[in-house]
Amino acid sequence: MEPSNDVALDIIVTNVVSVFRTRCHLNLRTIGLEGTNVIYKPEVGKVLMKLRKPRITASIWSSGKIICTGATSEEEAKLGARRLARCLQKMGFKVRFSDFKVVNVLAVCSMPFQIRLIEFTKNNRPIASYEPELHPAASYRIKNLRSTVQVFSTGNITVTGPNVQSVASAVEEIYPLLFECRKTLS
Amino acid sequence: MSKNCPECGSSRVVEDDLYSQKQWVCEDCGSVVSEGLLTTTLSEESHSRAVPFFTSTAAFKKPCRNLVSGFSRLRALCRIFRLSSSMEDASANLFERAYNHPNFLHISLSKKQILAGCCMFHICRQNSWPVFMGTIGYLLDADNYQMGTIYQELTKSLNLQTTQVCITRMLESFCYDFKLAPDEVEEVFSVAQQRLVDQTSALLELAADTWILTGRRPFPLFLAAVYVAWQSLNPLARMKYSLMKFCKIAKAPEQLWCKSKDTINKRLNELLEVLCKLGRELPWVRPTDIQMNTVTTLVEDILKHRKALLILAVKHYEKQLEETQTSQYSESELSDSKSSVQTQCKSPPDEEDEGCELPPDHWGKRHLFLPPCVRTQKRQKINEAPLEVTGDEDISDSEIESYIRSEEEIKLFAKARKKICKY
Repeated sequence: MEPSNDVALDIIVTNVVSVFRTRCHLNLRTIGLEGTNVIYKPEVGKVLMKLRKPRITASIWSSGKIICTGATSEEEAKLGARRLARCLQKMGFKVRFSDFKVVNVLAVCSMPFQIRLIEFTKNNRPIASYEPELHPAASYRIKNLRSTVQVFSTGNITVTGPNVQSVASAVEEIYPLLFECRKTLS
Repeated sequence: MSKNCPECGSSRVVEDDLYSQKQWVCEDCGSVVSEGLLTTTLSEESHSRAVPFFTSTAAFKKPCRNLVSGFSRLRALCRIFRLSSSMEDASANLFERAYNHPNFLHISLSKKQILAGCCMFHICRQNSWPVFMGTIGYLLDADNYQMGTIYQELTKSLNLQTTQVCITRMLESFCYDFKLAPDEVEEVFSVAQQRLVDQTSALLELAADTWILTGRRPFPLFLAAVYVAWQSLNPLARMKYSLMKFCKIAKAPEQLWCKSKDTINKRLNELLEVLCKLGRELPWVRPTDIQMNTVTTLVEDILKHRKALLILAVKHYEKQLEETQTSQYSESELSDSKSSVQTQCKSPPDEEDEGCELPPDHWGKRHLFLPPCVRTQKRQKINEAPLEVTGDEDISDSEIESYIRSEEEIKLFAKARKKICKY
């Protein structure tokens, strides 16, 4: 039985992780002193800075490399990163916004049916792996999209991939496989 | 070598060693014709061939000491689980391959011990030999998380094929751990092995149909199921014994129950709840008589007719849902004219109040048996409207100013930090 083509699935992007460089050395103590929403962690050697809008947390290292997490879309991530760079510029550092790259996108999706995990793993060996002693979800790695899908028996899936497009393609690819192994009511 | 003396022309040149330095001296005039080098290590090194260390001392390359101790640990583990000699050799081969792989050559010693356990676990899986990862972890004093990471690293690095675990075989080997034969315990407690296995597997099938088994660790559930099965085979005599007492009577190995007592109790309660729900459908029992602590008397009957009872229970539940929905609709029609606030939740009558959190057409509202992640209320997430941005917009100065402290604030902050850091 083929799944119908017009099933609308809501893919909700929950986290976008991005990196960029400021091309200059940053003095973490100054940032810790002059910034308002900052936490200085000298034992690790980084500063955590949180922006309100968009809601982003950034880890800033003294080498000038910065990782931003918490955005809900790629554009938001870029805007947040630029805001952060602007903030550092105002503090007096010679910041140049360069090498911005979205590294990881995490999304969740809910299937309208429940899934038999053991059957799913059997049908898709060796790409799928399921160890109930370790984790309650079966994980399915799509090599060409460089994405991983974690399938829970309740029908919820979480997808991680390098960008939003690959996440959407991963969901499209895995939907027919999940549909095959859905739980029918007893 | 004989030469003519350059001084006097005589041919009588003899060899004469002076302080171990070779000299050729003319006998007639006594002049030195030529001399060799005074022996030094430098001259020996530059004039003679170097002797490499390994050719002079080593006979053959010995295996690393840690590899040898890893092998002995591995063989001890294989003996504990009574693996055949072919499986033992296969595990040893796999361990050697894994040990020499660059991903595992430099890991810590404790991780190498865990690697030995993972190799054995993989071979057991391949030959469908039922072993829990948790048991191996208990013997190696490692938790499931550490075992899991190394096992996954192992399968990835060596491209190993993982096979699925067979629940029935695991269950059989699990039941054999309990010593309940007639000659080991009293008559009241003893039970035939096969009977116990059959009863427990029926309970596990029921658990699989009602969301207790899927996605959970099998260990605690197996133990809860064995306990219920044991009780149900002679309920009147055995109902007063708690789970811990049962483990002591049956001399269950400690690793089964010492670490996860809470989880085992949770699974036990879930199993008893499901049995109660099904027990209510039995036509010869009054629904009010069914309690969690007395349902064990009915387990035999429930298991015999479990398929029919499941269908009945689901049908009754759906009927109940329809009735409440129609009554709610008629109520809302009546009170529409009033200006009171209506709650839109359509919560089912005998489930916990979870209605408001789930969307209206969620499957969780229609089913009787649900996993706890759907039943329990979820925390409200702060759902902000997604920003409509392009990423390249202008950033106003005033916005950025809010993130930077003014001079005054910096001074105050530095003062405060100094004071706090004093303590």
